Amino acid sequence: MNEKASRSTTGKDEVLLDGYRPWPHRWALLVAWTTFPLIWVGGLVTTYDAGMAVPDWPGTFGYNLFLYPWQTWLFGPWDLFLEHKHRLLASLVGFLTIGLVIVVYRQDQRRWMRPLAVWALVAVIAQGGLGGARVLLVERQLAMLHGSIGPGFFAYCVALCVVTSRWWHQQKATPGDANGFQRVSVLAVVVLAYIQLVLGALLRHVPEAASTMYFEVAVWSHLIGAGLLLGTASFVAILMIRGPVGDASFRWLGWVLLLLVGAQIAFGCATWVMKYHWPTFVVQTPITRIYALIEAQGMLQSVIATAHAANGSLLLGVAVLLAVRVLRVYRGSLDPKPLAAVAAPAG
Amino acid sequence: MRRAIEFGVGLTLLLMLGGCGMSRYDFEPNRVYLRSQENITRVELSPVQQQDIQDILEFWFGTADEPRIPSLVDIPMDDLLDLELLHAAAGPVGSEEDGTNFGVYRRNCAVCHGITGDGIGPAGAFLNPYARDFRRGLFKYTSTLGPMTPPTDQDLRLLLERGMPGTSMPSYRLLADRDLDALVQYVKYLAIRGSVERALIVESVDELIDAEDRLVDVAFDQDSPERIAKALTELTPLISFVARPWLEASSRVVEVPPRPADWDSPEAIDRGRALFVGQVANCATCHGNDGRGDVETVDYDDWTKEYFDPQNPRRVREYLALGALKPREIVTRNLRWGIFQGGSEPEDLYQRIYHGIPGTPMPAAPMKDADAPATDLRLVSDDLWDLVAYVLFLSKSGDAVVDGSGASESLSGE
Ligand code: HEC
Repeated sequence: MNEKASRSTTGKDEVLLDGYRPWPHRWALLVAWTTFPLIWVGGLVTTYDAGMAVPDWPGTFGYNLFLYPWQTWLFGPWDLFLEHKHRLLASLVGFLTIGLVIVVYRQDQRRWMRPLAVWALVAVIAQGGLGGARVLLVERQLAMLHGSIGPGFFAYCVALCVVTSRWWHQQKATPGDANGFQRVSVLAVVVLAYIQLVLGALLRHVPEAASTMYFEVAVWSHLIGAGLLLGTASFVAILMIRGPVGDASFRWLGWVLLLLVGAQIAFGCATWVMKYHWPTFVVQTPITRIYALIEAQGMLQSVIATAHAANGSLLLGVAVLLAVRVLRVYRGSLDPKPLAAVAAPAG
Repeated sequence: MRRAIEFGVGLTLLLMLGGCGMSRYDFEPNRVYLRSQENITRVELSPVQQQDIQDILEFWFGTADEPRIPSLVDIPMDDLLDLELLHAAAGPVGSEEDGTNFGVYRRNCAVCHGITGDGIGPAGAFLNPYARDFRRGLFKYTSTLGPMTPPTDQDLRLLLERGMPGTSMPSYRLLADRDLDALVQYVKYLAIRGSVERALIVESVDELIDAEDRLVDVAFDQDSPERIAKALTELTPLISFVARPWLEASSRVVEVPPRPADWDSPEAIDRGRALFVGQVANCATCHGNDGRGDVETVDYDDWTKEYFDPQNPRRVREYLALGALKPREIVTRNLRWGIFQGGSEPEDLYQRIYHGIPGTPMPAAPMKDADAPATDLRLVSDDLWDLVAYVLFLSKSGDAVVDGSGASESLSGE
């Protein structure tokens, strides 16, 4: 590996950066920040069942995707607007990912970054193809798969952001005594957050001909998953907040994680109530008076459901951010010893 | 460890692909009703006989993707159902460039009411009260006389726009006009189809003595449509029997008389209270003197009683295995909450009290003719307005204590 060192631009610390280049990081950030709205517009497409608003693919009612008259979709029916916007945004993410691959090849001196960038491109293309297949085959189960890969790609982009960041380059590997349990719990948050997204997609894309059993199993799994996620995320968050963390950003991330999990549970409950009304065990209590009438495809209903999905992706993103960073720093345990060896960067 | 991973991957694939396998959008046979009829008559239909029922239904009504309207000589079915709108409601979800929607029923209703309209959609088991099973053609909130008279198009349309407060049934007022009309048509279609299926089931268990007997002697997959249609003419009276009340529903609407002057005066409320707890209207036996509905009554709605006998609760297992939902006790409405499923306008409540709520214990008010003698203690429309005034008064009094004789005063004292 090329060991050409460069100075930290801030000049505040004297840490030698192991080949840090700003552009790969900037591109990765760009891809991640464009992917985030993409997945929640995708979520809106689901909320409004607009997946079939444009029946062909990759064309748009016979037009090239980019040449489709903007007046038609911008001022057209809402579902057409959503689906077309989703497609345009997706193309943008595709192009940005190509850019990322080029930048990584030209700038990042770590060879192992190359396959990582190429995988991002492969994923984006596959995801686009899957979206197309969902439209062409009119297959809702593919929509579900498409809906669960989206956040996965976002999480991957977040990981790329961390790996290309200045922060990453500043860390020094510190061999320590591995505390498996703590590392496992950070990873468990990632895995659980992702499983929850998949189960959520399963619930939102439930085939109308599915059995009540199918739906019940999905609901209960989602609830149990929520409980487990709450438990592990709180554990990890407290570890970060109280733990012997040299880097203040970890404490901060712990709080964010806690906040997102709490918000996610609130959004989840609200999503259910706004769609299916109060659950049986409260249905005969005065609470039901608060939100007595559901409005199908109402603004509030859609906003909450989309917020639940978007926040879920964000939660996954933060979990990945935290996990990758933890794995980078705490090669060993959360014990203060190895940390002392790490040069503490500013904030 | 490896096995665990394999298991996990397998389970995931199963869930996903299993979902694919379940995306067959066929109408489900009414197994629960068939079994209940078999149990009553102690006749068991052979698989062929059961399949015949489904084949006949498909011949007459088409499939979940391709609805069809049977043609009858004695009833103008095209006046009753609009095929074009049915097509907009049926089939998979989609839309055109100009915003015309398809699969409107599947998109908006099927998660709860099911593809067949049996009230057993995927989310069906979670709801309380359960989603309506359309297949009996029995509806709770109607403007037509008698529990066996179906609702008018207008009733259904209103209900879709209004939703049912206090239940999982949403208001669909944001939907396009045409989509709402399509849904009304499709609900009627599912109700008529479901009722015809029930009639065919009854016909089968009554008529088919031997396992070899068949309702019609045709091969549905081989014979020409003309031949099948000819063979089926004998059975078309079943459709007429079901469809005629639907056609005549609009002529059986009971107009709500205009509200009398001072209909909600304190005196009217007091009169209403006297009626409410009195022997004739008898509302208090179920709703309690103060309308809280906390009187101990154990009862079930008619949809449930068809497969559930409270005297013999264990027998329900047989039906649960066939997909029936777990019986849920019906709850008398707490009138103090002011949440009325059939609408909270005074006119809505008048209709509720006048017609009762078909399919539930809530009875129609005992009404007398205008020329009945004074000794006849039954009610006239002004009495109903008094009851409406009292019910609305209760609904506005929240949790305040309402008892003692002067109902209206006891509240003003709060
Ligand atoms: C045999 C018991 C019984 C009697 C008697 C009875 N009700 Fe009810 N009532 C019910 C039940 C049960 C419901 C709820 C039905 C349902 O939701 O399926 C109900 C519902 C109602 C509702 C709610 C309608 C809505 O739109 O939500 C009103 C109002 C009402 N009753 C008024 C009355 C009045 C006034 C009387 C007397 C004339 C009366 N009830 C007599 C059992 C009864």
